[in-house]
Amino acid sequence: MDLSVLPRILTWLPMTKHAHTDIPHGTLGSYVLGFALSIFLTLLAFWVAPQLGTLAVPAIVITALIQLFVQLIFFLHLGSESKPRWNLVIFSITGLIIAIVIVGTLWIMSNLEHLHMMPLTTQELYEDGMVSPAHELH
Amino acid sequence: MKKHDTHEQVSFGLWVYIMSDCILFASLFAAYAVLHTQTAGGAGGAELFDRSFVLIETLILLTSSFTCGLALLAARAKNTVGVWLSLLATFALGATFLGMELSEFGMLVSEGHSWAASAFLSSFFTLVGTHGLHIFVGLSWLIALFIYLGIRGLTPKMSKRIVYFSLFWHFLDIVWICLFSLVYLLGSL
Amino acid sequence: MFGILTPEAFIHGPIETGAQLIVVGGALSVVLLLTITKRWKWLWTEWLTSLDAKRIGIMYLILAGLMLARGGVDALMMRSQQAVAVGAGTGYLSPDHFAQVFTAHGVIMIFFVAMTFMFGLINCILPLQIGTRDVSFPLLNSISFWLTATGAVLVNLSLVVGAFAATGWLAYPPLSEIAYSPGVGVDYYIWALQISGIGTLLAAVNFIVTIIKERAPGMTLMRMPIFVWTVLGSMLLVLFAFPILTGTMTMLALDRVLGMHFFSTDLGGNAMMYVNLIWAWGHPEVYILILPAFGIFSEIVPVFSQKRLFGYTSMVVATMAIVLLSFGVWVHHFFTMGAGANVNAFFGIATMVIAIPTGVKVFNWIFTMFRGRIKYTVPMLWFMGFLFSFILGGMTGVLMSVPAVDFQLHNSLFLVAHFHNMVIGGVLFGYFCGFAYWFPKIFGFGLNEMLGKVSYWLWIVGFAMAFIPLYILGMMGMTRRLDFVDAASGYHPLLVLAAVGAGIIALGAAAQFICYAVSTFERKRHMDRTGDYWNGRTLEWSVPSPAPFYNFAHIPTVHGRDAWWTMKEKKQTHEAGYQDILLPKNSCVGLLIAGFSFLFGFGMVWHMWWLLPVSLIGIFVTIVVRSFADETEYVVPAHLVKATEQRHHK
Repeated sequence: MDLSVLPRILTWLPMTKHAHTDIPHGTLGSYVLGFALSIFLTLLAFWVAPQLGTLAVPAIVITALIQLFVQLIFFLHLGSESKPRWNLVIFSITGLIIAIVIVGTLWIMSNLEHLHMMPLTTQELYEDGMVSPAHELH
Repeated sequence: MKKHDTHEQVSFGLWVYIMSDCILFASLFAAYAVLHTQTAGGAGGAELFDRSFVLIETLILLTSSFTCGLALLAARAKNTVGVWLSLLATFALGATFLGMELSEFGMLVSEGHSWAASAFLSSFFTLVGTHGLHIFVGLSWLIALFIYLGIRGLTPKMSKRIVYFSLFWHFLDIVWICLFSLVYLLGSL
Repeated sequence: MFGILTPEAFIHGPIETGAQLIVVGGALSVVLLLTITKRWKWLWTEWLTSLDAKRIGIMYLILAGLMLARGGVDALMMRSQQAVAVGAGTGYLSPDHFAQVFTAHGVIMIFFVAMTFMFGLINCILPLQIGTRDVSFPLLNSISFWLTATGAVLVNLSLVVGAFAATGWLAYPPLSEIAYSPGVGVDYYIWALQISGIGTLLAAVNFIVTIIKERAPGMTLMRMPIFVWTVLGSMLLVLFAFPILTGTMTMLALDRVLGMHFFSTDLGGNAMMYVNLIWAWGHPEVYILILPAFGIFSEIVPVFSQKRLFGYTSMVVATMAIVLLSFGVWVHHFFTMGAGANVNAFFGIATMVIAIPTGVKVFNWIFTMFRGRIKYTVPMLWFMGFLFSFILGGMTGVLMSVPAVDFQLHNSLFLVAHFHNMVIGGVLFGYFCGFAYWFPKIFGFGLNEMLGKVSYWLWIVGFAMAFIPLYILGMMGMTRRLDFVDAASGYHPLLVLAAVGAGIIALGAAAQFICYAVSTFERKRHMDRTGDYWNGRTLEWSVPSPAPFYNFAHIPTVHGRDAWWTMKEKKQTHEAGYQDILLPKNSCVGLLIAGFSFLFGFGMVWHMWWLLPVSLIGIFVTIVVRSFADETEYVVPAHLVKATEQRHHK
């Protein structure tokens, strides 16, 4: 997807490029819009999201994700460089690695904690795949 | 003849470096995620975090990111006064942010919630402190830019350096979004 | 003023004093030699401040050679201690000293031999292979090297002042926490790794940008030599893995200095998280080292089989698959820590999966050799030795990827044998292979083949003799890192055999140094006059040997894979005439930043807090002053280029 069209559509302003290099940069319009969106999303996250009860956690996470992309597109101009989009490629791999490291760590550590910190019945251990059915027969 | 360190290479190199910095923060986030329940009987995030204080911090940092963008536009328009004003504003806002962060830390420590009190607080101080350290590096970078700007003025080299600085400064903004959402907001629920 | 540094830190036992004298004496004799021969200015302008990637590469190689000697002595000490400390004998090393020796051995071999050797070869060859005059950021390259050297200096300084960590090369807490390791050893470890780690990370940024942005016209991604691909993969891994190491080391340092509780045993700390994080870096690290070795083999096998590489595309896909998969297997280093069967099974299967792309590579090399006219040169011999060792190591690795089997073999000598099979037989043999292959390009003359073969056979025989007994000992139940074994255990005969094997390896290493010395002495007989010593296929062989300081008088235009081979086939010639060339000027910024970083590290180790602001301000001032440097490049006029080229082609 060509992310560079987003600010262009939203601001009706052309995204200009340096004549001699490929470094994209914003315009006053795109900065103002990015700033306004960020403020809006921040206020949403601080004032509205925590009031949503059970939906508070997903609401906070989602506003954070949206704001992440707003900043990446309006301030860091991600995706608006000319092809091949190495910045975007490296950024995507980074995102994947971050996901692997954080999710992996949480999975491994919660698994350990589960096993070491809490007294479990054989039935629970079996359900978690920590003992085999043969073990249960004893 | 080919010139070394061309604009394209430097901004791409800086981007690549920033990606590695993201991984550094990811490992600190992972540590915080594992340890944030380990309060050792002490206070947790819900008791310690002041949401409105963090909101003010966030608004200040967001504004500094905006003024940093304005510096970029001013540099392209060859507006030296504009560059000075917007970069000074960025510096002032960044320094205020860092001051607020330090005063929050000082408050926590004086109330007995120091980094040595529990694993939760260790990981909290380290995660937020590392972001603060990056802000400090950004402010030092700004001072270096001021020195150059004061002596040499707004040369083409200087305009490029503002672009590089803005890349770093916007990145710190993005880290802070993750921080206030995942640490302060989720922690204070 | 001096923090916790007291005169007692300089006083050691007799063996440590010997090491102290060797370090101090060695340093003093180098200083003396330079002063007597009046070479200081030459050293400063030609080497220390040089921003030429080839020069920086050679400095990396020298550092790797020195550290290999240091790490090798550590290995010999361990093997001889284990051979004599049986039953009534207690050996000559105290338990604490033995622990320091095996810690230093691991740290030095991984960080300051393997990584340094790798960056040496990359610096010397990669810019030539992609047809560029330099890396993207020459000054950053110099900074990276000097930060790596600073780390090495800190590790070796611990021989003279204080002591090194006695925790094992990964310094697992709680042992490495201040409560159980109150000395400065772990701090030396942390700051040596932090400083050299930053150097490594910056080098990775540099080479990623260089590979992506500096390739010669016509060299599309799928025309890059496989070595370039594997370096790209390796550097991406550095970029994504080293920050995790930095983060983890920072947490450990904060635990030790500020009394935090990341990995402590109280107030909610969790030592297992350290193990998890350090291996999230540590496993990719294995592939950081082995990928460039794979690249070297992919370069030399076609040259010495006199055929093009079999399966180029599958080689590229396999490399990138390894890059990705290497981030999904880290639990196999700690199956026994107590995660449930689901976690262990997932990571066990992922470990088996990563053997597939590796197997693809092995088959590609074998198919490249198939029906080729193989020349059994020294580089090719190293490749053969690698195949033997790496397949053995790979098989035992897949064996241990089964968690149930790993429970039996974890932390036994079986594991030690396995990873030495990979790191010596895979990584080190790969770099030796590359060094022997590229030696004529780097230094302008070839190596004595006979002495090279002697050294190879000593290495391979010694290697088998030193490590196959360890497999058996591991199966017999002997755990690693023992400074003493009971006579009734029955381990002794095999330990003696392993010690003899280590001695033979030492002879092999000595034969290598003799080979370099003899080849230098008789270099007139092996001069590389064509620049194409082996009838090569890639661009580094298209320039004279050693490569002129500007690499290419004309930036080549690439018309296919095996760029130089294509040029030779088409009898492609350069355009006539020469042009001015722009090159980076020397700079002492790298040395200055490394010097201040050393002060910072030393201040952290010895709690001399005032050194920290001093060194940080020093770095800041260095950078600000450098930001005013306008003329960072100089012009090599066309007539000088012409004269240099004509001298080479005479």
